[in-house]
Amino acid sequence: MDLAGFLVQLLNGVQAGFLLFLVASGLTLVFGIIGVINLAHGAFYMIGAYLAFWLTGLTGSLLAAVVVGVAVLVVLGIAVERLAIGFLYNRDHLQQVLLTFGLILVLDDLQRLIWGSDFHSVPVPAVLSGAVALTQQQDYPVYRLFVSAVCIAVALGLFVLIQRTRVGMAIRAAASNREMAEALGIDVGRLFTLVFALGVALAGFAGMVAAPISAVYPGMGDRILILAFVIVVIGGIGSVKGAFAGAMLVGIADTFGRVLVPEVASMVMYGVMAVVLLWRPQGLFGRPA
Amino acid sequence: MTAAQPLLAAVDVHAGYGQHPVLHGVDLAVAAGESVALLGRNGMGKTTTIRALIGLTPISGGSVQLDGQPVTGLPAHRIARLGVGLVPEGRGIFPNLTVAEHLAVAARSSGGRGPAWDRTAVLALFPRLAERLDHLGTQLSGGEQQMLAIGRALMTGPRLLILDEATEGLAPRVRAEIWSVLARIRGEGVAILIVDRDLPQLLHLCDRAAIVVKGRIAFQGTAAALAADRAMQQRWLGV
Repeated sequence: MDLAGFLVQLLNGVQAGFLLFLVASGLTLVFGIIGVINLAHGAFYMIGAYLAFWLTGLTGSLLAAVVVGVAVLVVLGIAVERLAIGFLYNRDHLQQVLLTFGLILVLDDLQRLIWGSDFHSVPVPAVLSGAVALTQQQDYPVYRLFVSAVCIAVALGLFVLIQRTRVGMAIRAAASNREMAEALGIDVGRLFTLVFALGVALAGFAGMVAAPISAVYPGMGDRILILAFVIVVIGGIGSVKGAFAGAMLVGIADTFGRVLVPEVASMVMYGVMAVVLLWRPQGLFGRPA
Repeated sequence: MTAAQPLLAAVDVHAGYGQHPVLHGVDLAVAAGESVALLGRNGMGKTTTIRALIGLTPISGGSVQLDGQPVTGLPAHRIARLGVGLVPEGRGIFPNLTVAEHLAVAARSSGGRGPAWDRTAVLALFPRLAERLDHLGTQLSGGEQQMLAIGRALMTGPRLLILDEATEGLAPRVRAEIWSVLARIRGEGVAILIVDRDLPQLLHLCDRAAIVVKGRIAFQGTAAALAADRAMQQRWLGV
């Protein structure tokens, strides 16, 4: 691999990492704060991609699709939390896994009913369809850079929301001591609904911005879900910082694995996870159990 | 105290955990601005009484009114917003929030209906906290945690401040500071319901006392009456 090729793969890996971070951050937030293992997280990623496909077709603009799509996802997230997830708090993880697995089946069928089983693609918006020259021989698509920039913006937004705002303080307070937060007048139930909807919106948003890069197809959330779980375990369950580090590791390892050792590429990220867990069983930024 | 309508009125409150009833009919009243000591040996139901009053433990019978308004069965956050501040046993400090964040997250701009305490007022009450604003909850000493727990409760603007084990596990000098601060808070017109082991200090601070025995109120009267009655202290409190 020459330097330019290496650079392109590195950029691809970082960009994949950013996208994975969006998905994994929602998963780790929902687990770390609400304490619910959400297996349906990948299904929301898929719903996001289909919304991007459908709404881009209707409006002709990916931006409009994203704006409307995020609103739809937030409403979907609130509805799912109110009707299903809300009953899982303080319950066994097995029951959470059962219910959220059932949600995958429901969302998959919903997707088939509404959009059918065909593969679709979403066009890259015209303004972002160009490429920038990395070297004289190597170009890099503008849209992929744009996706990275958007992910950085969302990551910063998340950081500010959780670390700097009063809602973020309330979320952290409720996550560490729910009763005490209630006794201070914080409506923790409503806060958790909000956090779950945020997680759904993050997963779906990742699906939407990824749609022009990957295809839109049934079951596309499954692989993402497994990757997101690997990332959350590597980073330390519940840690957003950990999700970021884990997503970068997995994104880069997965990308280079496919180029350097294509025969065993699908195993590379599990190798990374195994090494991290041998070194730090609680994950990179996890608190020791 | 003969207020027409008590700030807090609990009538025949029953509560417990799952299949284990703990309270078998607690009657308790706290008038506006009044200080009441909640006494009793360990395991008699003091903490459960407090938890039931503020909605953290479900009430299975009886009623609770706050300023004449029924709050029985309301979620804890609604009761808190009606002007009840809690300093729980174990202090309930959030390990992942800084001192400044504890105060900010508790602040009620719309007002908890009690005397208004803002950050400046709380930090004037506890100058030690002013030096620790950026410290996380886990980085504080026990005394500082208790000061923060009280300051945090004041930020909600309570009409009634409830303290469970107000000075437990603290050094004598810190305890003295807490008692003097509680006297100042009382002076601001905040009603206080307090659990502690230090009977002399409690009788000094409070107008009235109530003794919980096996999930019922066995005595309710003035602090002076309890102070004078050594036999009753011996019988119900073992002091």
